[in-house]
Amino acid sequence: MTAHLLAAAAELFSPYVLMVIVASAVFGLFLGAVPGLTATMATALLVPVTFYMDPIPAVAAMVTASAMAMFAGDIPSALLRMPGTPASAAYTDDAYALTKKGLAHVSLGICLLTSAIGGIFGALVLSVFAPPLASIALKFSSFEYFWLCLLGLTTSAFIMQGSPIRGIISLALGLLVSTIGIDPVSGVPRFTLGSSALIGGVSLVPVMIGVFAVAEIFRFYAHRDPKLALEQVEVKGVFSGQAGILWRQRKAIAQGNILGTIIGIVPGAGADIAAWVSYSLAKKFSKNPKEYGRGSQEGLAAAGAANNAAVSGAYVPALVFGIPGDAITAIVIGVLFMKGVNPGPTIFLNNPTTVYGIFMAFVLANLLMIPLGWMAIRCGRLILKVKLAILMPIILMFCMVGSFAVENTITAVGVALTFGVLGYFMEENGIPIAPFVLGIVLGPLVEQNFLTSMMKSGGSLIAFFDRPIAAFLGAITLLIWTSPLISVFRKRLPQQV
Amino acid sequence: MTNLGDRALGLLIAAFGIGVIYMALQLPEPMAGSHIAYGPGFFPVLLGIVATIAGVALAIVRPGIPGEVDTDGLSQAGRPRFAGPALVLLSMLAYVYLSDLIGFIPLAAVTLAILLVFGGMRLLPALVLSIVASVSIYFMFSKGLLVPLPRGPLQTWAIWL
Repeated sequence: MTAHLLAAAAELFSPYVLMVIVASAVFGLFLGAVPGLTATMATALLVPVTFYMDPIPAVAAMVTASAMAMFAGDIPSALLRMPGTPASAAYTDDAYALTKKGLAHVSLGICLLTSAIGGIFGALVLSVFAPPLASIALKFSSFEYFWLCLLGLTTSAFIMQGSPIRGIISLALGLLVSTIGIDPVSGVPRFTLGSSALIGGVSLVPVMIGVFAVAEIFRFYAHRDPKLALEQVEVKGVFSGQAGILWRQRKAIAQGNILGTIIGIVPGAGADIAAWVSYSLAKKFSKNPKEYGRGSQEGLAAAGAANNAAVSGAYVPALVFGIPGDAITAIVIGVLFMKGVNPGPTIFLNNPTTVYGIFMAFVLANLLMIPLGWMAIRCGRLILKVKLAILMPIILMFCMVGSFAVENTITAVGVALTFGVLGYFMEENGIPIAPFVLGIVLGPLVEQNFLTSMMKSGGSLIAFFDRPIAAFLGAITLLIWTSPLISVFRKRLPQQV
Repeated sequence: MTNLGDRALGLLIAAFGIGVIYMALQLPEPMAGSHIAYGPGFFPVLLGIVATIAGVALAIVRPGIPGEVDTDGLSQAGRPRFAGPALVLLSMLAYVYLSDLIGFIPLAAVTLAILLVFGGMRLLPALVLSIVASVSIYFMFSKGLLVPLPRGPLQTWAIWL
């Protein structure tokens, strides 16, 4: 193990990889800080560039960019009352309220430090728990994998937004996209519409660029943003008095760390949900719940730590089972597959150096976040002055070249366009994107594991509950599916009595 | 309107689901003698049924509340406009169909200039920025990452590109 650790460290701390990390950090901070550009978009746009790197620098770049973007989303929250990424939305009102009181440095300081603490905590949990979990996962059969995939899809569909129906629609569409191409079991082409380009299925990277970047460009042009007014001119003294604040908010930070990591680990639930859940839980148990929404430092600390902890935590199911915890890890999994590093329990046996490299990249990225994030806060005014009307056409070019670069075919640009239109249409109609993306990634796994299980059991569905872990996972999944029905009955019962 | 409202959206999804079921039923039956009764159409049919039911549920359960789900304050931004998205769509279609013929640098420069001017930039700075940006992107991807971007008529200067 020491040899692998040293090898990973040697690769991670080589000048080339460090340069990649710093460059992706700046990229992530910039994209996260510009409202309308998200952490997921930053990761998706990085894919074509990482395509030509070794696994460790590639993953380190994506890990760094996503963590930085997640924090940087707090900058416009505090200065403009506009969340830079959806995961900052939970505490935007509090961050902005503090800015209105002339305390922008306090709110951004809390966001920066709790983000770094949350990210590092999540990374430590990842490195401590992932290897033993992987040795358990080695004993998993197709039954457990089937339920695990289905659990991930279920959580993403049911927990993401208020309306599970929209989540289910998104999920079904994503799973259907995953069936395009040759059926792996029978070898029959499905839904290829006679096109030879679709026989291998729709490739993931152009789809991601489409739904996360091209759709966002459409959205920008469809709804020109209202004029923005910067609240505070200069943010100074970000770190002054933070030690005291962090100590006073230690409970909220601890709660955010733990809750964020756990929600990150649950397949299908990511940073956005982590921030919301942690914020509302902190409010519920707070001594001053009335402060929430009006500049609560407690709420900021709890949610700011949670979203970054979730970014790290999401890598647990991604690495251990090959099942993405959220949209960002879905992209990372796609990249690892392209590099021949297959995520799943065997990655710990076959590519331990890569795994340790990822662990260390997380810690390094979150440590780097403190000085680089400070610089981003100082430059916040400049970043927020960047006009999206100039940036968006250039991002569009990157989208087209980026999707072309992955396969060197023009079809990929067409795929990015198609999914950009679809993603825009879905967002306009309140259909969440995350279940759709997870459906595309997990679809083949669900189908193959289901068919393999059916072959093993000779067609008996009861076999899906025979093994204890499979039965447990299956029970949770079915419980989530039936929960809306249960709540409907519970609402009706008192009326009848 | 791109926001359809729950009823129309639900019906659209349901119709799509039925279409999927129909197409999936055309797929070949499971091979005779295979151990299981699930062919290539099994999973798509199942998904088609789920989409249909969810679509119908959306149309029936909450009829007539269009735009009820507020995505990040979209409602404040007002009605969507079409000129911009249409321009983006055209740019991408032009890239798909014309990039081999025209080459990356000229096509990207023209597209960028049009979008920048549309975004409110004055013509001259827009032209300069679009030429600088498209040449930089070309060299970054073509030389740095070895992506074979189409050169088009600039092929004659291939030594320099």
